[in-house]
Amino acid sequence: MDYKDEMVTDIAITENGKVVFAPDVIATIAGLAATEVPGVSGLAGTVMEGISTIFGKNSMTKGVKVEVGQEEAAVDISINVRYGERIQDVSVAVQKAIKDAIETMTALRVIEVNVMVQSVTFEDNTGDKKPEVEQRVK
Amino acid sequence: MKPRLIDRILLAFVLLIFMGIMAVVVLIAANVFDSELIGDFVNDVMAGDGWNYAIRGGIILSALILFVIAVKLMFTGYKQKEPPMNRMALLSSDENGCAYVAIDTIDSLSQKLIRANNRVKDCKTSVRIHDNGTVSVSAKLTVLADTNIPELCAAMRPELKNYIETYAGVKVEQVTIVVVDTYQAAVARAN
Repeated sequence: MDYKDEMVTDIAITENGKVVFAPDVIATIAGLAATEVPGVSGLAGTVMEGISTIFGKNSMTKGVKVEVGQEEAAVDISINVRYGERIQDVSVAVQKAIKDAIETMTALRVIEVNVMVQSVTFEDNTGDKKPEVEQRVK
Repeated sequence: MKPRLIDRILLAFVLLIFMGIMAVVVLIAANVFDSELIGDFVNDVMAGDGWNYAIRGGIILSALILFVIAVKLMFTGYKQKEPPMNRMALLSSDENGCAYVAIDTIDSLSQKLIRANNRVKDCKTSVRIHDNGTVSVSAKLTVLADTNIPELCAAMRPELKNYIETYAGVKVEQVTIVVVDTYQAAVARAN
């Protein structure tokens, strides 16, 4: 079965054989690295990715798009940030964490990590404040 | 281009229908099904009324839906769906890549700050991104009846601007606040 067109993202030919990376592997590394950054409440995927997660698909790759060549990789990732954190600081930390993780684990050179902050999550669910109901009688 | 999950589901659905039809054709050709039964059924549906109209309508609707799905699948991959970057504001761009924040995020932050003010009963916010990367926030408020509106607006504008610039990291060009209504709590009738 020829994996080259569909599954292979990088083939490093060593003296002992080939090292093959599947796209999901690099996306999972990026997803895990991002979720470990303080301030990141989770990955932001599409509706279909959410449904896929329910049916057992790896949730660590939702919201992650990876483009990989022979030696380099580029990552686009969508995240949700916890309320109270400075979004810019969290984004920079995510970029650094993903770059370090992929370069350490796969030896691919990461040329860019684009971070898209899709929403802010409120831990105490006070983001949608409902109007208080006035007591009519005492 | 790798087909999306929804396209794969639709393709599987269409193929299952096609397999079913082909199975029926094979069974008819092999004389397992009497072709006259099918012919009689079709004639009854076309000639009759009442329920048969409903059946014909259902068949037409199903065929149209399958036709549309097939056309969609045929053109999958021809037109790349453009990412909604007009809904994102650029935070930073450096050698590591770019960081963007969604308009909805800025909207959520605005709502959170405005609603934290106990003089505000309700608010609707909208955020607009300008070509130079800055944003403008517009808020329509419903406030309590005895609120000093000029004072509230004068205090809220710089507070909101500073809040978004600090936490979202996006430069705010303009904050517009409009008080659209006042809220009068119902007075108790009985003591």
